[in-house]
Amino acid sequence: MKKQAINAHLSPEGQINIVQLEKKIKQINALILKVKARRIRYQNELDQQVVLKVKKQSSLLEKALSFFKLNTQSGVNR
Amino acid sequence: MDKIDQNDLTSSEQIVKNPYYQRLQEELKQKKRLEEFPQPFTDDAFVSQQTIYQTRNDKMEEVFEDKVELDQDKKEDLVFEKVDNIEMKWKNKPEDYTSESEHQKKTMKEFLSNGKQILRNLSHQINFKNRTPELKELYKHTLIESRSHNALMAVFSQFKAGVVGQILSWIGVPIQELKLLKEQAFKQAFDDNCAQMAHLIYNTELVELIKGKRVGKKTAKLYEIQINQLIKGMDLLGYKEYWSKSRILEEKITQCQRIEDEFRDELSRLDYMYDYCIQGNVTSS
Repeated sequence: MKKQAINAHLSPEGQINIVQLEKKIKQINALILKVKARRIRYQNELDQQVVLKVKKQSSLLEKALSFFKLNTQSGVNR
Repeated sequence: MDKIDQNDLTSSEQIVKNPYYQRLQEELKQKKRLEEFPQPFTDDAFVSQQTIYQTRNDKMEEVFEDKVELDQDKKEDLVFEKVDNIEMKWKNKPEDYTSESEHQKKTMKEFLSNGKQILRNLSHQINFKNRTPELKELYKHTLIESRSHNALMAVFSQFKAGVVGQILSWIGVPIQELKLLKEQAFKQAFDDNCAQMAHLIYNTELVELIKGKRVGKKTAKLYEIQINQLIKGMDLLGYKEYWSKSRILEEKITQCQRIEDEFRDELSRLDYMYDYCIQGNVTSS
């Protein structure tokens, strides 16, 4: 693929075609933007995953804390 | 015309009278006769058959070279000499040895030409010590294969690993070393799995980027199957849920970064080329 990208701007005689070169640069710029967008999307997804994980853990902790409080209250009452 | 006919006749007669042609005809006739009325096995035929077998055996003896090595202390008892190309003798005669019986001669001759006979009678004496490094590698390889996603292959490899492990312990490889080999094998398998996963994710991302989601659907599906196999393989290696969703996303981010870096490299190269061309045009004009 890289070879194709590099050779696309060459004429059959091996001379550099400036128009093709410009086109190629534009294409690669577009691809870079695409990759960047993709990477940011994945990063967001990962952040969401982490948030969900933390939320799940915090809810579990809250549950444990309430259970512990209940137990200690009943102990005090007794 | 007559002349030509006469010439043809003389040539055909010459061919018929040729002794080689006659001999061929006779042989063909004999073959036909034998096919029609098969003869009983005559003494001459039996002798000729025996000579054929004998020469074949002799050739086998000449060609045969066995790579199997026997234990040094037991090997000395079994060294024998060849006398007059036919007779065999013990070099180091055992104490209770009185005379060379026909059976002993026969077995010794068989040992020379038949590897299966050696395996059947002396397999317990085969020395694997020289092949220890090979066996260790084989042990590692079979251990890795035993954690394959393919159930049939995994079971067969487990059996193989057991056999190779047994041989290694017979040779005298300590159990600690075997455990170390096992650890090394699993670590290697883990590293391979991670590398393959990175490679596959890189490929899928690149295909989706360049071909688009619709066009590259088939290839992406193929990669997905392989990714699933790797996830299963990791589970079998003992790292359950190693490839969780978040870890796969992390890997995808790193691969996207890698692709971006590569594109940026190419872009800088093309930019340089473009600038160079423009400068050349300006100077020439």
